[in-house]
Amino acid sequence: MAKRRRKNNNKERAAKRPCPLESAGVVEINFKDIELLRQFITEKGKIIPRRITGLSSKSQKLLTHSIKQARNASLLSFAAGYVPQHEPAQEQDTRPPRRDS
Amino acid sequence: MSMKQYELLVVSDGGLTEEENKQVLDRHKEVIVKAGGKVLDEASWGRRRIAYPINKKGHGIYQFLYLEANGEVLDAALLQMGYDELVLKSFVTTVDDYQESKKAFEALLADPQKNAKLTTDILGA
Repeated sequence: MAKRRRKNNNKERAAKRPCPLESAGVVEINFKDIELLRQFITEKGKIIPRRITGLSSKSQKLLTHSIKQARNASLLSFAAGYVPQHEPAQEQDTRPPRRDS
Repeated sequence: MSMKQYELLVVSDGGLTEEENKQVLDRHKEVIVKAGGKVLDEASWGRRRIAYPINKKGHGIYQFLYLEANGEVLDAALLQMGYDELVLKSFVTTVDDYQESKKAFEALLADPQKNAKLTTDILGA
């Protein structure tokens, strides 16, 4: 017997969350606003998908476009995502001292 | 040919002094004017660390030119910028109204962290 397809049960569906950008009142998404864009990319610079960001279709499209523009303008890195303007304080060398000479 | 408004991003070599940088910009503005375009306004973002090295350089001077131009003008300008070794990147976007665009950019410069903490509670990042 074929498996019965489960009907979409409205009770099981999670409530729709509002688009985080629209509810925060961000009207314009621009490639220069890196502080905004960096929240929607991973550490490796990948764009986070809509099912996780919860953005509306319109916002996500604009955002993706802006992120790609920012990469081309060398504001975001293709492979390393957000790059801070000032290098973080150098970590101390924890390797054991070299023995030779 | 109809003219449209554009925003042209020019990233020049971060090692240039202010004067040298001005010379570079003037050189390219001349090309734009000669080709029949118009430079309406400009804005500067100053010297910034770029996200990935270009021509083995780690810093660039970011500046925006707001233009009234058409495809031919942009072609000519971008071609010349491509030849110029002191220009690391050039990048064109269309704008509806350059004054609005400049205003938005200045607001961003005044408060770059404005939109920095929007989604922390949602994404948990």
